[in-house]
Amino acid sequence: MRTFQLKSSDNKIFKVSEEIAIQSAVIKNFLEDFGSDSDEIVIPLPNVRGRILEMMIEWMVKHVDEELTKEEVEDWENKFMNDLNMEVTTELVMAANYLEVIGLLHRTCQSIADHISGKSPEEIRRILNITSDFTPEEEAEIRRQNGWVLNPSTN
Amino acid sequence: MGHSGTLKDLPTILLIEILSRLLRESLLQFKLVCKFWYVLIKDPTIFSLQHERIFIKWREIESPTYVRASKSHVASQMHHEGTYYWWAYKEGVTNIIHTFDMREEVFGKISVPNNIAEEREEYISMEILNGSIVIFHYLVSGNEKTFDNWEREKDVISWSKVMTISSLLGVEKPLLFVNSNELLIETNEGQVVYYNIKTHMTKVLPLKRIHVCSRQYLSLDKFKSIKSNRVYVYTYFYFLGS
Repeated sequence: MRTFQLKSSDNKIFKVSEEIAIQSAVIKNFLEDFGSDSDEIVIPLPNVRGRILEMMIEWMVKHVDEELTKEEVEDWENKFMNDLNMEVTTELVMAANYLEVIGLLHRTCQSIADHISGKSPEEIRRILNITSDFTPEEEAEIRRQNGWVLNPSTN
Repeated sequence: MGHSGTLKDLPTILLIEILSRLLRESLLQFKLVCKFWYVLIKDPTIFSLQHERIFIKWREIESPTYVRASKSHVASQMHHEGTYYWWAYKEGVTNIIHTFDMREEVFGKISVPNNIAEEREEYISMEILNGSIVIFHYLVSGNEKTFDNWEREKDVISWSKVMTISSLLGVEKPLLFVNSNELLIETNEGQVVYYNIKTHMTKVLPLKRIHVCSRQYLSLDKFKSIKSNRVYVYTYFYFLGS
């Protein structure tokens, strides 16, 4: 089994086996195209900082572990996601997207969706630090339209 | 590139990915967050709000009949100002460069220089330099490795051969133009050298081949299923400064 080194934006080096690394479609394609000759290959990942890369690798390691059942991986993953705050989760979304780790991308997107689901627009603005750029009239109009769509029978 | 993990800074495509996991009621509420979200959520080409469960409408765009060149031709695809270019071939038909305009979603074709329109086993590398499409080409099967460099200026239909780099330099592959006069090449000893096309001076860079072997690593497969702004660019040139 070949191993490679992944280098984060803050120059942290992580050694990973091919089996783990190829869960990233980008790394997989990269290795197919250029990675034939040695295991000294260092793949620089200038868009991912070390802490995030470490988490991704942790996630990828669990997902190739044949000793674990599907349920055990899911339990582990749920706990893993629950321990993360929104900022870190968002960084993981970006990193998973950049490296095309599709399973992790879906899971992290779902985690954020779960977090914001059911919240009011005001809460979302507060969480994301967004200032409303609607006039009060525009806002009222959208609420009126939403009322029709959500409760068609009352109008 | 920053590392702040705020949802506000997510690329639109990822915001859509997240919003698409919400129930309709949440999504309708979120139109009130700000104008950008309003426009996004209301866009019928992205979200379908007719159903209880929202789904993203990915559209498959009918692709042209040509297939792309083999994956080993790492630089045979590029992305420039909203247009995707790739070197395409098909059995029994001459090679062409296919284009796809991401905004208009229109495919186009650019003919290639006559002498290389029939070639199959070739090394092809493309890039844009000062608004012109530049191609490097050599035959893999030949013993003598010489590279032809062609240029097609913007809005000009014909190609002109700019230069031929002889095998004297021990060139394995041309990599890319650093500027109009300087070219990066990989030598057959695995070194990366600057080559000045005017003065013919070379300068060896203290780098391993792997760092610069592809200026851009683009994957065409993505845009068949995923729309417009999701083009992957892998920039290794980034490391040349260090």
